[in-house]
Amino acid sequence: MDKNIRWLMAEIDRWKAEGLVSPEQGDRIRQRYEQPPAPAAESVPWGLLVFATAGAIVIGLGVILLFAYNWDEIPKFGKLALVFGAIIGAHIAAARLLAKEGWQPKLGEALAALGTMFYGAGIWLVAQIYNIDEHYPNGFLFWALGALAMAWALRSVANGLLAVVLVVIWGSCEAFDFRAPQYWSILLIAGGLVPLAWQQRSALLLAAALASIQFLLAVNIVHWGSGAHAFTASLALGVLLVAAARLTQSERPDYGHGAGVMTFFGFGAFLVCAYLLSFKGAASELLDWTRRYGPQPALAGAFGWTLFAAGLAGWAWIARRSLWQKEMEIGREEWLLPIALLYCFGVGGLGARDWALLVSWSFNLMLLGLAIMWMWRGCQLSRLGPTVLGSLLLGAVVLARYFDLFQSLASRGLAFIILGGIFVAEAMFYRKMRQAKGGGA
Amino acid sequence: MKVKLALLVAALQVLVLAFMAGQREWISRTGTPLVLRTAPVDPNDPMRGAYVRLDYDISYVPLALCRGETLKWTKSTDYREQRAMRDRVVYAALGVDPHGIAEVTSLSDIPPVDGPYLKGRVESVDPAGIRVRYGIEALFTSKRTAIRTEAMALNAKAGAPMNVRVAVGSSGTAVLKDFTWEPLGITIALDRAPRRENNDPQRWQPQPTTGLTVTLHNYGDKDVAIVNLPDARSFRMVPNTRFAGTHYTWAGGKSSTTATPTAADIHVLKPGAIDTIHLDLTQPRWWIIDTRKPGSDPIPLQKAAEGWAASFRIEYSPPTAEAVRGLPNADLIRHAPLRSRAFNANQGVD
Repeated sequence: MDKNIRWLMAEIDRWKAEGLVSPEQGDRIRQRYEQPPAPAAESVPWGLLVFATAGAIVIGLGVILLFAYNWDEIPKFGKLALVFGAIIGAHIAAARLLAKEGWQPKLGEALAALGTMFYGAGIWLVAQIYNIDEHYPNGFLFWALGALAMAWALRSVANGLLAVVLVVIWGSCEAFDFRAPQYWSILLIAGGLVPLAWQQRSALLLAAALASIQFLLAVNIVHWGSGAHAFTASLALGVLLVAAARLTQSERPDYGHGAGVMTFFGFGAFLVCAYLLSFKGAASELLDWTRRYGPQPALAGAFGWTLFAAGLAGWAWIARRSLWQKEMEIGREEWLLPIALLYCFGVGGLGARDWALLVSWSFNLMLLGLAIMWMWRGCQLSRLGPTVLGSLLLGAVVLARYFDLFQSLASRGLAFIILGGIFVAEAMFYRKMRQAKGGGA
Repeated sequence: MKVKLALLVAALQVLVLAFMAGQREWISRTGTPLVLRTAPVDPNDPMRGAYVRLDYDISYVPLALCRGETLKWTKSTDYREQRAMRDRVVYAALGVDPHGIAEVTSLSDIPPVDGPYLKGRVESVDPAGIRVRYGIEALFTSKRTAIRTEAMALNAKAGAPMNVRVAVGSSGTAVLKDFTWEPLGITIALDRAPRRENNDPQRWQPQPTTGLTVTLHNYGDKDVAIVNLPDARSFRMVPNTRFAGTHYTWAGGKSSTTATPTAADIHVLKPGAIDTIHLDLTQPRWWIIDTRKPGSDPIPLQKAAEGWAASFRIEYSPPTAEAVRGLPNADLIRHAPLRSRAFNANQGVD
């Protein structure tokens, strides 16, 4: 049972005992929030499964290195028999466990991951036996496809994580070693692994997939176009993720962890981009799409504009649900995200390089607004998270301007005194609101 | 259902590996056998272990052999365009020279209609030609064997080419089978002009190459005969095509004068024996021409304005079997040309 629900149940008993609510009312509240027990989940030995999965992957790596030693003593067909035997053996053992009841299918997933590791070892071993020295990232691609197929076959998070890692290695090898970035690396994760994370309600797989998408998107777009293209696409992805997080919270409350992951990556990308744009020098370069260093700026632009359109569509949907239908609640400060997106793509599209000063001031104000709203909301709701985040953001903005705005030590000192004053006032306000709500000081 | 799907995926994984291994095994047994000439180096791969990196003579295809789109690629001087060419698929049509070594007859972006060919991918493009990777550049061995092979290339078999046997499938895929060392090797030692008095210790002063001592080694276990024609006419200077910046050629290459071999020119090398020949590069026979200045007079190597760009190899090129027929020990002569490591007007380079 969720710890909050457990607390609520105890409270209801107290309310009934103190006469705050009638026994009938208490029972109705209890019925509303009571969750059915989950005995099967309780009995799963998660420690065993987590370590078994990690162990399977490490064993697979060990086997790859063992084969890489290239044993002269083992004949060619002996090596092939070893690797084929290992793959078939691991998968048959996995299938036997998968067919059982209880927690054993989970161990079967770990063995299937081991089989997929052996499959990867087999790719490199066959290459070694037949002296194949072709385009080596293809080895990782075929390995990743094997892991992806297994992840879907078993609806397995462990195999999904393995596939994410392998797709990232493949995409990175293509981009860094061959300077041939593959948009399929992004699409494979977005189309093949994010839906699996969603279906399995896995926050871990979603976090790995989103981190990989952000990394591959930035790396690929820099190679296709320029840093400006990669920057604006990352900003658009961040705005889209926050929209997706809010819609998930509203439409699929059972995937709250997933919404949290999307919020983390979305706001993470947005704040980094906004912070960089608060510097005039960076603002003049990061929104300048006319500087094209890569060979495929159109492809870079296509990714950026697609994310832009998806992000705006998400926020349009949120606007419909919250402003017109009044079925959702969105913090006012969060509307800054789609506004910032429109603003950046507008400046980039117009090629307005001379607007760097305006852009940097705009984003300074935007960040200040966001920080103050978070601090205010955090204090009002007595929630430490937004209060701390807002304070940190305010501190970061003041620190950035410390170096490029205030020239004299006197003005710098004054800036810190004001910042310190704001923090003290915030602390007092937070305490007051918390006491008003009956919480501790 | 889940179990069936998992077994289906497992079967697919096994099939992928079986296809990889089966295709190569099939080519290895039924493909066209060819011999390629190469030289080894010894790197390490984290996934496949130690291996001997092979740099084939056919790995660099000069401009004159490029056809179709590949010819256009060499015209590009833009770095980004050249970079974009990397990994393009190309097809190298192959012929076999009179000594049984495969050589590229043309390189194109479309496969030739007949004859054996290798499918490769562009490694790099420059105005002088295209470097191609055929997927057979690695010979995976144990660490011990890889180190031993590299050591042999540097010491026990120094200057001896490595002949690699490959089998080529109908789609241009090649499978590397094994290798042998040529029994005859060639090494060079450079003569340097004394360094001039240098008042500025910060400024590097080249020591121009004025001559070469060429040594022919018999690394085999049988007698081998070499032919040393008068005035070292068994030797030629060939531009180092692996260095894109070469823009000098050997003036003697235009000369059509050839010497008729006699019995006195044939030297028999016992196993382990060597023969040493000195080439005085200051002599007009070894002078070079700047290809960027048509009609210019030949100059000695050490006078080349850009010493780095005057990069050459010495080629031991004995007379044909026809020319030595009837002479004593003619049957012991190896007629395949033999090239030394490269050198330029300033130093040895590989």
